[in-house]
Amino acid sequence: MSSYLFQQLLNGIQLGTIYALIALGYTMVYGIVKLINFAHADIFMVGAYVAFFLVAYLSGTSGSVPVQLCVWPSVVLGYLALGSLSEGTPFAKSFFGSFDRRRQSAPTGWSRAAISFAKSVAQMLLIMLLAGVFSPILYLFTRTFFKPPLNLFSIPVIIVYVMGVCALLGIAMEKIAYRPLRHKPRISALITAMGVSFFLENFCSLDIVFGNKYQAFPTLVQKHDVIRFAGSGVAISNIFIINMSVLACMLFLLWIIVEKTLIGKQMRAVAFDHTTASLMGIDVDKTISITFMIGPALAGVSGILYAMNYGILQSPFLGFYPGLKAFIAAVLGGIGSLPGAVLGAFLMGATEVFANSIDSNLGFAAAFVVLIVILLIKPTGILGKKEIDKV
Amino acid sequence: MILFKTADLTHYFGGLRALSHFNIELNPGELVGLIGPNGAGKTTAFNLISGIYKPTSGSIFIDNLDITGLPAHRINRLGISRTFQNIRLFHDMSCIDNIKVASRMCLDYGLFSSLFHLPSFWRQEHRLDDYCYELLKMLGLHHYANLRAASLPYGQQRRLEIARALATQPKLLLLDEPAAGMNPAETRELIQTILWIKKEFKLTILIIEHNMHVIMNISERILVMDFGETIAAGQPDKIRSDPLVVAAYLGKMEEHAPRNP
Amino acid sequence: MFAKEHGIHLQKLILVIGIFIALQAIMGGLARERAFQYYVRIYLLIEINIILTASLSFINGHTGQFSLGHAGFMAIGAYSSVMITTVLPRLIMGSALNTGSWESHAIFIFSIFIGGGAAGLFGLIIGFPSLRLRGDYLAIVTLAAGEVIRALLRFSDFLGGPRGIPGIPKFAGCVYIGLFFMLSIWIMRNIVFSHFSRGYIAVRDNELAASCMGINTTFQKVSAFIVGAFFAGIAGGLFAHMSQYINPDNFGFLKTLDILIFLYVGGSRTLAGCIVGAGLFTLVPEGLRLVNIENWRMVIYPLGLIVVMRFRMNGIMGSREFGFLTPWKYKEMLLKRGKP
Repeated sequence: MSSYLFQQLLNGIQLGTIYALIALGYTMVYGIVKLINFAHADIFMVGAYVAFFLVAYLSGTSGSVPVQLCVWPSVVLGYLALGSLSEGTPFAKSFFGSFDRRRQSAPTGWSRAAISFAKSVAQMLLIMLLAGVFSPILYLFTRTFFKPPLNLFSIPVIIVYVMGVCALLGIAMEKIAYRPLRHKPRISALITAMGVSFFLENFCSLDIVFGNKYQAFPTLVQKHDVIRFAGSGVAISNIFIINMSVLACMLFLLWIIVEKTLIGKQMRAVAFDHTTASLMGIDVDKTISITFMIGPALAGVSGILYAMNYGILQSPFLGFYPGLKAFIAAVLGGIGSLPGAVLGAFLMGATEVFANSIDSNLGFAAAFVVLIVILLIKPTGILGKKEIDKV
Repeated sequence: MILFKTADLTHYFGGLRALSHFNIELNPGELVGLIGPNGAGKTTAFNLISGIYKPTSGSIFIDNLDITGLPAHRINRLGISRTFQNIRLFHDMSCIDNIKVASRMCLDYGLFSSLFHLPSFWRQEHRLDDYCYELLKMLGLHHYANLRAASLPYGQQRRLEIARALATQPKLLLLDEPAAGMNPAETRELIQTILWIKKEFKLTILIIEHNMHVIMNISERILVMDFGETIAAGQPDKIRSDPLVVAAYLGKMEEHAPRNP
Repeated sequence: MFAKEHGIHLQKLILVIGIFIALQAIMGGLARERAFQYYVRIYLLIEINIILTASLSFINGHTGQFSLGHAGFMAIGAYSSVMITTVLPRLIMGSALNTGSWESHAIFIFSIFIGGGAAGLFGLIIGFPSLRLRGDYLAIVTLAAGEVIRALLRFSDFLGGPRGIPGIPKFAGCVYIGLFFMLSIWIMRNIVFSHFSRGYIAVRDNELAASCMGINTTFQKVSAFIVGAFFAGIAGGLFAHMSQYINPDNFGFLKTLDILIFLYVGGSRTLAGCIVGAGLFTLVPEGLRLVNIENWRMVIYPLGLIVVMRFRMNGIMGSREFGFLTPWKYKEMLLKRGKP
């Protein structure tokens, strides 16, 4: 009996690694801009799909380079190209907004709002145009540099590629949707985040992007048991080891960046107080952009792991539940705290697996109950810090 | 008969001792000043008395009733009201709504008549409206009745906060730095207002201020605090010449001689 | 006093009510024709969505909380009322209530209120975490709560499980929905123009000061949830009896997102905002469907939301309330003082 429980615990930890990488992204973004990025779960989904298409191509099952592989990176590149081309012009300023220009109120009057709206539409069309330009370039690039067949060396390549795409997506998301709302009430940013999430999910359902039917992930590694504990039936599979090592790797890199580098220190400073950090000479915009690079990149890696673990990508809406659970994990562990996110994720994974073994519908409800209990005992989460409100 | 007293009120924020053995007794109709350098614990005392924090130890009594640890709204309904160091008006509401929401008369509304807007509800609304308008008039703010509270000039916002506190019909009024940010003319007006409302509403007032002109002119008694402890208490003249107080807070004596307003 | 303004106000009010009743009658007549049933359903759906949006405005708009689980309340209302009119009768008598007899109509009305009450009870339960949690935490807890309600409904075979409950008797036609709509809007309007609403806005604006001025913030916050949940439950019951079929997936996060869009794009501060938001955004997808860009509808929709949030934060209606919704006595009080 206890060996069964132990095996379930191991399964829970395995699941927890996936949640941990997503939760880290949530908690980093929340720590620095105090925003729950609802679209984070969809970056995770994009990572899973990009990984799928790349692997399908590399393992030779899909013929030529799939269009889907090129769409997202080219749209994002188009956006960034537009930004850098017009940097410094009034065009760019009105589009990106910045930390220094504190616009207290939205443009009043219907005519001004309509003009701004028309400008945004024009800019989006330009981005699509640029994306069209970038797509064939990316196509050729992928065809030259990413050749089948699939071997051991391609795994780090896949990871880096997916991380890159997701990082770019994160930066674009921040610049388009969140930066203009930085000084507005938090509700607007939250609603916008939900809008972005919704948009991503539906945009990726279009057939020219990822399509709505489910895809079976080609088996990269045959699942087999590496360590078997004699007589008890408990086994550690190679997938478990891969999950744990990827997580450990990512955590190590994250630790180095956050604790040992200058940019990490800047991130921690901006998370503490934007205004003071800018007075100390830190470029707040750049720091926030970098956070939106690292967090989503981790989510992308989690997407790869998810695809490998489950073998099936159901639809572009697959990010919703793992994202919700990962966010609950981040809140459990104390939002804004990186070790808390990992701790919370393992807790969530274990709870879910144990509850599922009783009845498959209870998994989510059990996790929710754990969340409520912890929040009522310690509202800031297990490792969270209290926010002080001066009276 | 003592209206209000605290007994050994002490409060820790984590490991930091913000207030230590704070003892005060107020008779009805007194106006007592509370002074001291920043961080001395004055606002903490106010926060404890008004019920925002629960004191680590010690007790608070009003009318011989132990109100230690009661929630803020109950303490308010038992007769203690306050203003805030940083103005905490309800910015989105009109001035008269700010007064209405604080008014004690709201407690008498019936649920049923409110849900269905029965004539009894409107009668009460009219009564409330008249009462609140009168209150605004008494403080000279009636021109702003339907204006958004955030659009008032700073000095008027402070008065509105005082009006709002008065709407709760308190016995004890805590004023937290009411003269902050005011010029001399406004300060003179404020002194008159405070003395007037004390008489008119039969209030007991405890006031925190850094403006010595105000304190020395209107306080009947003064308490001086530093690092959470009460270092002196007594008449204004005595406080002015107390060496401890001078060393900790006041500096040279001549600057703070009372001038006739 | 102010007889002229009073007269104008009354005229506008009678005009609006008259138009509404006329529309309801027309729609009721059209409902018999097969060809028009789709349009009538859209029309009635607008009214249900308005009730839903207005109910959410108490929690999210007036009291300034952030609840993401509103569809859960709707689900509770729907399932409770259906239990009384369909599930239990099937168990006891073998078939659902039929729409013929007076008794069954009375039971239906009763069941709608039970649905509201049950939802209100859940509002009480879910309102309590709101006391200790702020903003973002509350958002996630309510989101999860809504999903848990849905999961539990999928789990319970007694209530149909994932397959849902078909064959609900069609009580809710133009008459009932019109009546409940008017009643709900009237009562919600009454709450908005009462002292409760002043308390809600005070709690939203500055909770600390509100509690120091004698407002029981606990009561305000929890009661906002109860009121919001109650009316969401009523809307849910009406929806169930109009669609004749419900399943748990009707009430997931997507539905909550819909209501949130109605509220925030229309304007979270006023009832007018709810009406405009719900009306507009129930019609827009249908319009897009007509123009045949169905696939891109769900892509354009959230883009519109993002743009509105960026440029007009208070929603389309901002702080302006419809004249006919404001009670005359309230206007009279403002006029007495001289509007600024």
